[in-house]
Amino acid sequence: MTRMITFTLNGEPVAAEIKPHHNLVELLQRDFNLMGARESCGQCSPCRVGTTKMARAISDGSLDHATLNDLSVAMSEASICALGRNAGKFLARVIRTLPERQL
Amino acid sequence: MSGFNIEVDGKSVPATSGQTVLEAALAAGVDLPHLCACTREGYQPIGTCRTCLVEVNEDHELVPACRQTAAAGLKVNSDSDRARRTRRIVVELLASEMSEAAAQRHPDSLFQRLVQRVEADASRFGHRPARSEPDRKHPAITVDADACIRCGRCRAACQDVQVNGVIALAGRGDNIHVVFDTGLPMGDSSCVSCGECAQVCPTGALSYSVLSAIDAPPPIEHVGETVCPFCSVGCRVELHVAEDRVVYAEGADGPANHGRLCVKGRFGYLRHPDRLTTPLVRREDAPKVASHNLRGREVLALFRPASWDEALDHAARGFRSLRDSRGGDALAILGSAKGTNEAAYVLQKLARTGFGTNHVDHCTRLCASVPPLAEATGFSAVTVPIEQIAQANVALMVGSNPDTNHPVAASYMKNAIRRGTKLILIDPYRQSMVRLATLHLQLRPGTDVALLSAMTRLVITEGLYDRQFVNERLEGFDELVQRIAPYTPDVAERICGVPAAMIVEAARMFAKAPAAMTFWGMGASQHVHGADNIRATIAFALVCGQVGRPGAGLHPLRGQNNVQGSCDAGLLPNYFPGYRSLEDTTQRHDFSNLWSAELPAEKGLTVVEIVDAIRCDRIKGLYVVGGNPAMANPDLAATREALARLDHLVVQDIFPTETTAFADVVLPAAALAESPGTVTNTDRIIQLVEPALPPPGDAREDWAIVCDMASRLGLPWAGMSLEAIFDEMAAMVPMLNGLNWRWLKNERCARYPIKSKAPGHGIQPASALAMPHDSLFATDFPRGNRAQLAALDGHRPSELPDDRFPLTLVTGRLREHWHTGSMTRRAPILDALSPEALVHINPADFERLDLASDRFIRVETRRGSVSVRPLSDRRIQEGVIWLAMSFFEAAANELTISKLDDYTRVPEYKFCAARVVELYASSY
Repeated sequence: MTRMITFTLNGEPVAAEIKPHHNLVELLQRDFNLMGARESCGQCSPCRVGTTKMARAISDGSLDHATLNDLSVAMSEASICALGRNAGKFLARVIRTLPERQL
Repeated sequence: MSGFNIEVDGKSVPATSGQTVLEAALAAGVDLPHLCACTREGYQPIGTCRTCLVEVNEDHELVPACRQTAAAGLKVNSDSDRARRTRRIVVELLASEMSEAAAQRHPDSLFQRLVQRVEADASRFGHRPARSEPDRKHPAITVDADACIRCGRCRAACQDVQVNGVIALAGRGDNIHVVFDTGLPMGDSSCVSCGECAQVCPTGALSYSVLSAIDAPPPIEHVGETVCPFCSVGCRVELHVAEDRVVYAEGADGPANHGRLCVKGRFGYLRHPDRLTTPLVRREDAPKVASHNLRGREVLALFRPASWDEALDHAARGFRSLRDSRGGDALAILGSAKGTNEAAYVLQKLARTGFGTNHVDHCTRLCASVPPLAEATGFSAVTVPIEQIAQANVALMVGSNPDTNHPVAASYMKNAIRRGTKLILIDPYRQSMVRLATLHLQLRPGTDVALLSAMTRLVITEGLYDRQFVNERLEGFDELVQRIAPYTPDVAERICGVPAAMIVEAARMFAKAPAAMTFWGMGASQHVHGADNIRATIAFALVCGQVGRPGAGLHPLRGQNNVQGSCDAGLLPNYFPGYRSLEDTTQRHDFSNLWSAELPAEKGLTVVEIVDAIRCDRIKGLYVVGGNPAMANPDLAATREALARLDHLVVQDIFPTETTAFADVVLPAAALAESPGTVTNTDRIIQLVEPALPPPGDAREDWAIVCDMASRLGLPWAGMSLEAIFDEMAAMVPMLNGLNWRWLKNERCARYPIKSKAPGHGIQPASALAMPHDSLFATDFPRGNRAQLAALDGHRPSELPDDRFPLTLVTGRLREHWHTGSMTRRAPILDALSPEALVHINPADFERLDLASDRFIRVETRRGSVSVRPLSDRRIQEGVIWLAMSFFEAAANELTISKLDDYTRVPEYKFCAARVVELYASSY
């Protein structure tokens, strides 16, 4: 069940062959050698829940800075592996660039 | 195991090497916060919830206490600002995984208690939107997926502990979720309803349906402990009781189950309105009619309520007048292996001293798996307990289906198999353990002797047997070699239908194993050649020297919760308590003195023989305590005819059974959970039980009723106490020598043989690990230096298929039901899980006979017939049909044949000729 898709990647039009179970992270890593995109394996809660919350908060400003700070602490202190820990550290660094949520 | 101390939050905590910090802290009563870690035996730390993070030795990183190995001098701090803050946020993140509605549905869950304990704000990170309503399709367990935090405890329960392989975590990243099989609703999956997942789920995502039922259960008033009444494993059960009824049950940390239970133990509590609550006397206008086949409450119409005094006077008068007019030989007692040791002991004592007869037997006769072991070794119990399979390289299992009949024992076997023990299964049926077996020898029914003889012959001809063991520890080897000479693998292949190469491989694997354990069950014993099947099994194991070492020994898997104890207590027609000889004058003299009575010396009749003796008017009075011959005996039409002929029948039970239809007096008894006493499991562990709830109405404990009966027969038993009964029994039963009630009351359980008394008191509690007595007979056997390789009786199945009855009928059991179903059919959850008898038929036969699963058929034998729906089942061999024995609507024993094994006197439940006849189209 392979099919061809086309989309825009970093401003360039690209094409790729995908199967139904492939997700975007796998596609970027395998076909375009872009290793920056990662996916939580979902095993431990700080990373599994934290990365999802963090991604949403960065894009829509849905969490205030205090909550984001706590989130980054839990991710960087409590995740099992470096994926979640580094995501938490990254969050700690970008918090101040995010607009404070208006309550 | 060396001990040392660690420091947890400023407190000194003892630990042993190999323990984790969390285990050591919890054992010492320091309740470190945790969630996904389950410290029960069999659970490995999961380490994914991250709520047990602690600081260790002021190291840089927080570590999970559940995975941190304890080491001497370790300093653990769970209460630093950093640990507390991280834990609180982690719990808040976990709380956001639930929908708001789901969180409110389970306010008392372990998780919500943790939320409060760490002062987390459960809504801080929002909640998932509600996606599904709780799924109540499963009769016992409700799945509330919206409440799941994906900790993985249920997965560990189902995969690692019970090894049922139903629950998994599917998906990836934030989409990880719990699935049953390939994503089916739990009620449609292959779930076996052991309930382990609901017991360990910390959030209420998996919970007992009764707790979330619309008509909310009353608040729990107290929690009591008992031993499960449903099989010989002897699991301890924690009963949560309100208003004198069990609301729900959980596994307690018993010596045999360590918190595990199966579907019967967890959901088989007996609070059905049919319970007998008052003594009953038969009405004058209610004649006994052999064709009466009354069920359940219908029976009660034949009786009128009576006081205990009236009922007992009436019951005793009948026995006394028969005894005085016709002698003790006209009376018999059928007991049960479901009561306590004390009840069994006083019941056999009543038979021998009050009735003056040795016609006393019980349902152990119908599993009959031990006598050949006693014949070989002189010991009437397992030589090695189940849990030692963990140390066995190979396990041989002949005619046993533990996944169905001993599920908790099966879980320990499956744990061992996953760690590398190889399973060799000898069974005509493709049972569920097959998927874990290294070899499945799927023989034709009734051909066990040929198969095992061929395996024995092979290890001898190839020199793989244990020469030294044969020379020093066995007798009868030359006769054995002669007997098995004709059975080459090729001959066995032709007889058994098992490929010769597989027979060879199995024999070599067993003989070469450093330690191999041998199990057998009723598939081996319930034949007219049942003793031969077991003798052949034991001979194979002994010739290979597989006994008397850790992981090497002989283990008959037995049927009932007190099957071991009631035999030890002497509830047998051919032995005094402790298997002491009836014929031996010194032994008889001992008991005669103790009981101040003349004792009959002649062996009594066994279960089926008693019924035969009633039919020919030799026995006229019968006292049935907890048995149900009108459903359990073979050839029920003949059994009912016999019961209707009795002058006097007294039935003592917790429910009205098929047998009560023929009773003159019915005495209401307390169930095991309502009784104090002791029971002995298959692993020789004697456990104390205390009443977890009161008996209903006027029902009384078995032993007390028997004592009152004895008093009315002129025996001076009025002041009997349980303590006195136990101590008298322990003094007379060699296996129990050294035990007494007071000690047991303190220690709760012990495994016999009791270690000889060391200074102080040297009784070894069952909980102690690695007891020297665990694998018996390392140096000699109770019968002497050598075990006996017994000669065979050489019988064949008594009724082979022919033109008129071309099929072979095998009877058996289902996971959800126990024996005649008088209890489990009245447990609503068990009956909902398995409501109907189905006759299992091979797909080829199913098609050839043009059957349909919605059309009833009649299964007929020369003895009777039942109407039942057919089920096409590829696990069954062609030409064989299989029917469970627990359904009164289609009682398998209407069909079975009343032929007995010469030695064990077990009827041939597992083989007779049958045919199926199309009956009529069902209404649906």
